[in-house]
Formats: sequence, structure tokens, C-alpha cells
Amino acid sequence: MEPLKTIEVNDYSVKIEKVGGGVYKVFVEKNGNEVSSKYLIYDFDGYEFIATPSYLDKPVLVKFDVPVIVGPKKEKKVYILLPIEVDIAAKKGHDEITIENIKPDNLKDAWFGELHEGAIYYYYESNVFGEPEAGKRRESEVFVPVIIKNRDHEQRKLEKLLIDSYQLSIYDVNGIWISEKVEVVVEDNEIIVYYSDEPPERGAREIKRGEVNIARKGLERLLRRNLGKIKTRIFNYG
Amino acid sequence: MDKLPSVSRIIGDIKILLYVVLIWFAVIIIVRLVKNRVLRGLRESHGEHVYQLIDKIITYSVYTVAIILTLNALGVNIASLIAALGLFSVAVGFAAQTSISNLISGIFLLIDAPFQIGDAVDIGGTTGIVLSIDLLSTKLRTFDNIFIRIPNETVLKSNIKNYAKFDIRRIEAIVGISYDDDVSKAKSVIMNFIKSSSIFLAEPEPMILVQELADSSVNLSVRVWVKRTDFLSAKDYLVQGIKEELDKNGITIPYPQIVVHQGK
Repeated sequence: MEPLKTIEVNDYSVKIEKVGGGVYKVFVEKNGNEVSSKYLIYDFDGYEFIATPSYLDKPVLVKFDVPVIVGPKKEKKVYILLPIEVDIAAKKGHDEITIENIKPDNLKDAWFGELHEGAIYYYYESNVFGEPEAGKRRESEVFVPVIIKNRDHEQRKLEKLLIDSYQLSIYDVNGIWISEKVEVVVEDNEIIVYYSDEPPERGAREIKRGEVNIARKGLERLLRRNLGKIKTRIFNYG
Repeated sequence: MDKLPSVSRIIGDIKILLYVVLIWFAVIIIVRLVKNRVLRGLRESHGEHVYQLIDKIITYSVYTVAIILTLNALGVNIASLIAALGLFSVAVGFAAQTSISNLISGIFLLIDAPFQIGDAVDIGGTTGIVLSIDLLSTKLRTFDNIFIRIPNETVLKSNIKNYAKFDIRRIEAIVGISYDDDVSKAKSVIMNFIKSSSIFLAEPEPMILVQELADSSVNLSVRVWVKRTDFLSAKDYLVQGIKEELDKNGITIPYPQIVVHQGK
């Protein structure tokens, strides 16, 4: 019998299948073995599956699989993948049943800043893409368009990027999740990262709103750090 | 009848008593007010040790003033008492040079702030957690749970290592492999192990260097960065992991050995 839905998680998948009067959640290994007992979750008639992304609890330092080289006074647009958490649920009206919470696997921590003065962020290795491709994105990832502008007179190489994901709204573009674009300006040995608030394409459907787009009032507005842009130096640990 | 005190004298005594009670009531109020209102912000902004030190200075000062006022109210001649105290303090001063030195060192420590309460430190070879920084001494609890009191003068003169000052620390492990083994393969095996373990930070990047061509082994220096809080467990995990990974890949960690060449 065809499953109602199959969710690819990191090293296993979750199959939702209808058997008799009920619906079961089955954990399946990569080699096809069903590894866990079946859990009856609900009678699914009339339900639809929805996926809700949420951000990780701290910014992510994304290391590229290949460095992006930008010539003097040139700019380049690439796509990278950013890890997120995703809640998969079945919904009918106001009734919502969580099926799976997908978290990115193999997340490591990394230090960003001078050795005596910096902070710990998540670390993620991503391929660099020319265009977003549906098959390349895992369930717990979102494509981030990155525009690198080199305003220097020398060629520049970008190997990693610290992304404060809370800034970015996420859109569904023909079934592919893409965030708002991030603009990286390299000038005088400094990198300035700007977060835009425009959809990646016309007609894109917003599925997660970035924090800077949320209207804040009064005290809350005063207390929140404005992260419209992040300016950093290029660190050498030596 | 003559021996009975007059009414005015009784009233006078009651007044003095009330005055003394008032002084000590004010002392309690002032000390509480300072602790709860003024010093609370200081604890948050400057840490526990500054709070404790200022708290003690203020408390002792207020109590000293209160004692002087009480004695004055009881009719003790304060001027002659202070004069006597002056002479006494000269004598005490000679005897208490070390204490005064410690006191001044305590104030310098407060200004310099090389560590805070709760930090893991090494003060002149004594390692432990800082329990308190007082006017005369700094108290530590060693990692094997022994209480140590170090005079502030000694603290100020010693080299201080503060293990809690920065958020990340580097671990170095020296690994000797056999001369018969492939150094590049050993490096690759160790690096794969490090990269697959989430306890080690991805940045600053881990490093493996050939440190020495030693008598019996090629010594590799393995350097990884970890969160300060993970230091001990990460060090144990690193050394054990390297041993297991090298064993799994047939790379030997040799014993010290001497090759004897026999003459013909």
C-alpha cells in the first residue's frame, strides 16, 4: 500500500500509512528496514499535511564546500543551505496533530570572533549552488540566496558566512523553500552582511516571517537589538 | 531617700537609652538598605567579589560610627579614647604590617579583578575554585575538595592563571606513532574522528602537526578547541578516541625501544 506521506529525516524516514481504520507512523532505516514499532496516531480522513519551519536558537556559521571567488568590483549570486527545524503535522480545521519534529543532524558548534572575544554559533557545511534545486534540499534545510559584492580592487574569496537566521523570512517558491536574500559587501578587509526583506521571487508564498519584519512597539522595540546588518572583521586565528 | 535617683536623672537615662536604641535601629536600616538597594546593582554589574568587599567595608564603617556614637551617648570621652586608640593603633600597626599589606593588596585585587568568585584559577601553583575574595585573603576550594586560604599579598605577587576568563580553550594531545606507520594516514584517521565529534569546535579549525621525530616514535601534536565547560570531558574523549581509532586502523603507538646493532 502506498503511504500517505513519507518524510525523509536525517538517517531514517518516517512513513505515514493507513491500515484498516487507523493511521500508523513507521520508522524506516535507509536500507528499508522498519526499525520501530508502529504507533497509531489518528484516523486521518480529511486531514492535510503541513510543514512549519522554525529557526535554530542561535545564528549559524555556514562553511561553503568550495570558496566563492569574486573579481574586483564584481558581484556574484549563489545559493547556500541553512539548517532549520521543521514540524510536520496533520491538520483538519483547528485540529492539529504533530507527526514529526525534524532537526538538522551533525550540527557542530563553532567560535566566531577573536579568541578572547567572540561567541559560539552553530556550524554547518553547505554546498554552493548556482540555482536552487528541489532535490538538493533536505527537509530540514532552506535555500538562502547570497549576493556577494566585492567593492575592493582585488579579487576576494568567501569561504564561510555567519547568518542570523532570525532575520530571514522563508518563502515557498514552486515547492522549494527559499529565504530572503542576504547581501554580503566586502570592502577594505571588512564584511558587512545585509538582510533584505523582499521575497526571493514574485508570487512567492511566505511561510515563515523573519523577526525584523515583525512590527514591534514601545519597550519591546527599544530592548531588541537591531540586527538589520552585521559588520565583522575577517579573523585570522594564526 | 538621698540615695534614690531623681526623676530628672531617670528621664535623662531613658533619653540616652532611647538615643542608643535609635542609633542601632538606624544602623540596621542603613545596612539593609545599602545591601538591598545600592549593592544589588553592584553585584550584577561588577560581580560577587566586588559586592562582598564593598558590603564588608560599608558594614564595618557603619558599625564603627555607631559604636562611637553609642560610647559618646554613654558619656565616654571620645577624644581621649581616640587619642588612646591612636597610640594603640601605632603599636598595632607595627604588629599588623602583614595584615595591612594584605588589606591593601585586597583593594588592588578588587581594582585589578584578575578573577571572580566561582572561577577556576591557579594562584602560584595552587589550583581551585575561588570561594571568596575577602579584605585579607582569598579562599579557594581545590578540585579534591580542600579549603585553602591565600593571603591577598601572596595572591597579588603570584602568577595567576584564570581558566574561566575565556569561553573556549585549546586541548593539545601528543600522540606517538610507529616509524613504520604512514603519518598522513594517521593524521587523516585522527582528523576524521575529530570532525565527526560534536564536542570539538569546528572553528577555530583543529590542527595536527608532526611535532618531533622522537627516539621511538613520530610524535604528532593534536590540537582542538572546545567550550571551556567541556574541557575535561573533551580531553578524555579526545585521548581515548584517538587510541581507539588508531587501533582500529592498524596504526601502532609504540613502546620506548632501543635498536641494538650487533657487530660481526
